[in-house]
Amino acid sequence: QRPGQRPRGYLALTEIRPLSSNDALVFFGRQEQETPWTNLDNTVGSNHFSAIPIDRSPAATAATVGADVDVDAAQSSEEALLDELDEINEDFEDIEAIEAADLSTLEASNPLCSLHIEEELLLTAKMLTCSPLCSFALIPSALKWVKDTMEDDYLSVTYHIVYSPSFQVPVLYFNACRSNGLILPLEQIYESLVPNDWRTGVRNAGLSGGISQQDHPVLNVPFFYLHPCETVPLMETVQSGQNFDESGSFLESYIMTWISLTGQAVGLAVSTQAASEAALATVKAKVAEGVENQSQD
Amino acid sequence: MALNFIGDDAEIWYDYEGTPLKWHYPIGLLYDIHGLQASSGRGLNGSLLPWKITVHFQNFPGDKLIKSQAVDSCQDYFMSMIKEADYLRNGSTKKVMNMSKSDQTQLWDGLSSNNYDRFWGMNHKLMLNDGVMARNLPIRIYLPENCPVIQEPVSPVDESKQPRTLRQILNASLPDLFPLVETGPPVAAAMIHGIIPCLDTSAIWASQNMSYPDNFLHLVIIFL
Repeated sequence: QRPGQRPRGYLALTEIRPLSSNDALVFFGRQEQETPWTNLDNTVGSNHFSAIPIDRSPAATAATVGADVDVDAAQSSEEALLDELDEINEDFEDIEAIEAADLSTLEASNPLCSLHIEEELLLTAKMLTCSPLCSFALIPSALKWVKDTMEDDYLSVTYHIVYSPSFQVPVLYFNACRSNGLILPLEQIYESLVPNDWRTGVRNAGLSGGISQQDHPVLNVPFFYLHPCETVPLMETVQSGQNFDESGSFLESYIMTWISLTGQAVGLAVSTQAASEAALATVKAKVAEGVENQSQD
Repeated sequence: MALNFIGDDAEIWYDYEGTPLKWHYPIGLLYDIHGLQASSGRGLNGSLLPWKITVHFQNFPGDKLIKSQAVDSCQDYFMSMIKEADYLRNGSTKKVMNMSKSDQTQLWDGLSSNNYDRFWGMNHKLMLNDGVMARNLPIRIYLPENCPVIQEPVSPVDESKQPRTLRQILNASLPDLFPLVETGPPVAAAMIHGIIPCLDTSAIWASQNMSYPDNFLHLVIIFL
């Protein structure tokens, strides 16, 4: 056993946002990595990915998963995409293809956290690009394929939800870059990610503004993050106004509230239902411990 | 050629043998991390002083180093470490947040102008915590090769309220490197401020007497 080895998990969301439209592809993944002895790029970990339909358009934000999908319109482009993906994936042993029109199967099969992928496994996924429809997620090579074929200039935003052992709350880390790979500096983060009506508030939060850079606690490279010390009192205020019986619903509510508060501040536009369950899986154990400790005081 | 020294365009950065140095780490910590490990052939008695660092004025590695090194960001980073230490000790940042503006200024000014009395005038209140036992000690443990920093809540006492030693603290995070009972020659040691403290040292004593100005015990693990 390597010294210093303990799994650190975080929830990773990568959103590809074409600059010319309001639509986006969001890639969800729950990653666990053992604290590495050497270069993190070579770390072997098990990656749990989920296929979750995400719709960034305002109309669909409140809609349930799978509803209002105009499948016919996207059929031909989907087939072309599936063909491409099949070619990419033919080397790999287990492939699960999700049928274009079979979104109900996706719902029924509980996509959240149920797809366990070993190192060499890939999952074929349906992707709908640049259309006001549900788009969903998967796999590093699919992400790369999307980036390579995307013609428009786009913003690629990576959000990581990592639990902070010091503050005992989840913390939102994020980075954004353009198609040329250049990481956005702080000023452009405010311009591109923070919604207009949040901008002044976030800028003036805390001692130096709500967003700063820090070494990512698992990857050890610079990431922007939202100060957790602002989250803690905020969540305490929210929690104190709510009343829950079971620990399960308390946690779920906590996570949903947290995501909708912090996520909105930096443009994390995922439907709260999908986000809460996925985030819940990642931070559930730790948050339960931390929240119980706080509520016992 | 215009060189930018402050603000978002700040391009100054430092490296040691090709590794960019994290400017937000205390310099003593950087030396412990990079100096001794790199010179492991010299053994623990070796010294790299004067430490030869290369200064760069362009090609800032934004993928490896946090940007904006203006003095303001140094202060911001320092204050966020102070807040985190306070939170670990007390379960809230009330103490730091309730410090008056002039007190916060005194803390930073004392540090940045190297005025021992001015700095400790404020810092002793934080470190001694009004005599209240800390819930958790602010400790960060650094492993070699750019490993993510180990930072976990560390209780200063064990279940029977006895003060824990450094050995017990390190054993909790790195049991293979720091067994509670040594069965052979030690494989690793913990270094702070360039010295290797005895592992039977009380952790709370170490926290109160050996912390860096940011209130953290930055322990660097070196292999023997």
